[in-house]
Amino acid sequence: MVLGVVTVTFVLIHAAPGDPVDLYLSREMEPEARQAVLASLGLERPLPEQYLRWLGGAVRGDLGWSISHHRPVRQVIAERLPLTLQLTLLAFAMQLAAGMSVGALAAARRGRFAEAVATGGTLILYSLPLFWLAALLIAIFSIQLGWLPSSGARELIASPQSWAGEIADRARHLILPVICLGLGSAAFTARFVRSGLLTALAQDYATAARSRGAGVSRVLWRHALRNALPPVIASAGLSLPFLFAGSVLVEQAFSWPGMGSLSVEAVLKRDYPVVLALQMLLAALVVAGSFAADVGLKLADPRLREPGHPRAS
Amino acid sequence: MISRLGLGGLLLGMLYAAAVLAGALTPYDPIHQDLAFALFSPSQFHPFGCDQLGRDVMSRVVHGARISLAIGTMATLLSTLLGVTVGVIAGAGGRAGSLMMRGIDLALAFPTLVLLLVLASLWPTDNWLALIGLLALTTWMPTARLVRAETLALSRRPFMEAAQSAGAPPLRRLVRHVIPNVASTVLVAATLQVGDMMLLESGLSYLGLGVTPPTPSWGDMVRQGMQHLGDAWWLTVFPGLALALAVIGFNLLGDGLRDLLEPRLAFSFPGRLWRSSTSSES
Repeated sequence: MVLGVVTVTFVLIHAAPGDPVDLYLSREMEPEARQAVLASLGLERPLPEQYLRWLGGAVRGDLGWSISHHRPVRQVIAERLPLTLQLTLLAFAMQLAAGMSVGALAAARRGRFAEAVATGGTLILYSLPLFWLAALLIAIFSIQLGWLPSSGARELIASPQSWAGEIADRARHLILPVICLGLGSAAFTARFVRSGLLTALAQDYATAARSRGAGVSRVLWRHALRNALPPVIASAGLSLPFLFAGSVLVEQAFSWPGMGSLSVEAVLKRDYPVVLALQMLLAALVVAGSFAADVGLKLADPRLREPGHPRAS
Repeated sequence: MISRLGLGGLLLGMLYAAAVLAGALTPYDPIHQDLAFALFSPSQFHPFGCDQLGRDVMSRVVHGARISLAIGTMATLLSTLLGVTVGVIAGAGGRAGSLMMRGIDLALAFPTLVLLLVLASLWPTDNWLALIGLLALTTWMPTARLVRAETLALSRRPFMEAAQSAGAPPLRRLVRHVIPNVASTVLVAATLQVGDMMLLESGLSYLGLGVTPPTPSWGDMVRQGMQHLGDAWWLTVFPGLALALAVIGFNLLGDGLRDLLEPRLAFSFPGRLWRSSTSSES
């Protein structure tokens, strides 16, 4: 799967009109000089050879040389990866936590005003354009209220801080981007959880438990929630690519130096080694995410662990 | 409860009307610059204020509606067409079908925006057709998946077997039996997709890769407005608000359609009877 992604990206990049280095070389350069540059970057060789060389390097951990950063691609990515992971994983956690609580609340307050508010509110929240939400958050919390920083991952004019100080600083910078990224997904998850819970509560086992004298709240949540969980986990796994896509916009909006803003920059500067490497990484992350979701599913629904059970995939 | 369908329809109706009547609604030319008016706050002459080049924001928002709605709708049509075609073929054939499914899954492994980024950088997007094509090419996959699943489920139903044993050729079976039955699902999915498409297009524009200035595009307007977030909030708020309203409208419409067209599930919470409309999940 990852290999396929890489191959397609490679083909696409080289199918585009113009050489990858056109942006960097002056048109008035003499043909020989131009050829020399191309040769030094290995762009002279026939395509299949370039492809295989890249693959060979990638497997060994060498992802090539960034044209715009003048550094090994691996270095550039290594700097940015943790930041994006911080952002995305925290947003994912927020999505799950907030989504499940609000969804459960909405299901519990069925028929009351709170449910209507939750349903309507979540619809609005996940319809909002991410970059606009970012602008709003910055305008309100950064500019008007001055509570939180509006960009970057750390203060620029900081004297070397203590270890705890660094963490607090990073946390301050993380709050707005994480909220921005996670809010929409949380709203979506909330609706999913709500509908799943409502379906579960309408089932026979819920009525049976209730008629046995179980209190509405506690024991029913124990039954309903466990049954409603698998689809929620599945959908959460599927939402990971969306989180990564969203991180591109959010990172750009908050000037967060992660892989998302790197993608934008690399694409705009035609830095193809970086683009290729990022695509591969992203595909790998998505695959890892669905794998994790699969594991989560098996944990949540013991029936799936038995081979041959009708529910098992 | 207020009908979701009605509300969504109303909202969208207003937006489309505004887009169509754009010229009549706003007296200013959206690309006319008048630096004397740069960064004017909303007033009676310029209800949405002016941007940094003196252009009337309201005109730009309304004209941007035209463009964004047009691109979104057309791209969704194309994407749905592609998705249905692939999905139906994949759902019909045996080995070819699973092979296509693998292909779809592969295409799905790319986060859409990133793929769009790469593609948009490689090929110029200054003309509409290219943008629409690009958008469609990166978003047909979920539709294809959906259609394939439905087709597979349908092909096991007795009426399909009956049609086959009556001698109907595959193409005829497809057109007369499969397509009408998947139509409602596809319609709901497509409606919801227009909203996503608009978000994608404006996201691209926000990053500088979509519709090129000076053509007004909501995403591009927000991008330029970000520089003046502190002193000229109207540059970002209004275009984004328009976009948000459009997406909300499509989501409402899609949800409403889904309630209308697909089987309803009535819930009864033990101990509490649901008195008003039995509108189903989500």
